[in-house]
Amino acid sequence: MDLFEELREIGVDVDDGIDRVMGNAGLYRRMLVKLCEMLKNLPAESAFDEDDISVLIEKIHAVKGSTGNLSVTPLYIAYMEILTLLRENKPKRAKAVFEDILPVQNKIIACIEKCMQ
Amino acid sequence: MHKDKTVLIIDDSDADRMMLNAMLCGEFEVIEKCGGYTAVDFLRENSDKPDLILLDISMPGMDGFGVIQFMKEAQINDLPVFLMTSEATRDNVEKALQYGVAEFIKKPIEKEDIINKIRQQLGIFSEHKLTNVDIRETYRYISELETVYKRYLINFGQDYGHYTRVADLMKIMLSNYAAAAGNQGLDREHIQIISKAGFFYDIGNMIVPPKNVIVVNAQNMQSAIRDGYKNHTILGAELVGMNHAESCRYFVDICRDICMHHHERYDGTGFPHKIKGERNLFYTQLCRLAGRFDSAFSGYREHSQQEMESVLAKLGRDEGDVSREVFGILPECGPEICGYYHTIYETTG
Repeated sequence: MDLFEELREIGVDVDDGIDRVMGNAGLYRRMLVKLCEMLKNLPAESAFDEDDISVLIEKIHAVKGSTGNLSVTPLYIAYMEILTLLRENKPKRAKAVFEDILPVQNKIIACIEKCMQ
Repeated sequence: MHKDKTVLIIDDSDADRMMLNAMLCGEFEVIEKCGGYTAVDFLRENSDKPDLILLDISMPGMDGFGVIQFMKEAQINDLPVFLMTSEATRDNVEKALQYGVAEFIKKPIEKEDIINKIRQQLGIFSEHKLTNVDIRETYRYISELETVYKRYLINFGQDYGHYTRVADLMKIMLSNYAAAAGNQGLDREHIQIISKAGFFYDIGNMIVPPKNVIVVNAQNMQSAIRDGYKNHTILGAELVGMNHAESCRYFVDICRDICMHHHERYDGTGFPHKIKGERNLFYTQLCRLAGRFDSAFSGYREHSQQEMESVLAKLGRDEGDVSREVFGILPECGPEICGYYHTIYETTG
């Protein structure tokens, strides 16, 4: 199975994502690689327990934007919820949502990294 | 293709800049800057300014509002800015309006939406020839919208005659303008469609909840927005803009702008966006002028040339309202306009 098929199986709206970049599948692929780096650079779950979560909020905000632009729908929905909860000062609940989405996120990262080899 | 127009993208997200570039590079020249400080340096050092800026609000260091503040202090006032954010909070919207931002774009960005808004802002309307299908579908849409709007006006005891006269005045003025300027790409169908767009300039009032109907002007608009009032201009543009049919694009683009900006002034003191100078689109200025003229002239008894000159003199004293070019079209149409008013008032008695 190629990258796009695998991502579709995970729930990524690949066709919408490619459409957003004017049908340029190569560009979409490159942007997925950038997203992969962003996701791997996210703080660990322990960041949700810190007193100051402003940096965490900034990073989640950025990831939310990118996952939305690339139509990585399962992550976009999750990060929208995480960001809302963090802004409402509910880091425990935000952390729970984050932990729930991690398996799907790791699958997506693995797919993209496989294609990079 | 409008490669003579340049769009500056200011966003700290590589992915977002790549995406926007992909969306726009086929139609415009695109420049990218990855943060507020680099953008400010670019604007400071380059005398050739872009035609439009797409500006992310949330950036580390200097954010979007910081960039706009710099532009204000450097008196870079006539450069339209579209603010981009994934969260259109009330604070952000209010701040954006205070800074006179031209548009507020919510992320994730839809390519059709951003391209249409940029075209509209830069006065680039659909340049494709109107096909028979376009004309048929556009007139069908206009007819349906007109039926709904007229019913609303009648139900609220309002006379739609003013709006009919505005559309007719626009037709007279555009026809004269096209003839004098050697057509300018304005054939009969284009003129008819543009004029019809003028009928709907106040259609946003249909969606303002009755309890929220207040007279909003440039002075009280900030507090009105804080109180959750969405100006009839913005609502009208949203209503008209709901039609995404390609065949109606030409009409929708023009009508949307007329709805949104018919309260703007050439001198930049209008609302909702305080746009200034040539950023006020030609057809929208024409509609504004036609509306003000009818409001002043229709009340006269004779509708004589003399009375018309009196109205023109009064309107002409407000030099900041529309451009000189737009204002100059009215006097050229004097006899025809007087004849038009004689006819309609004779018919209606």
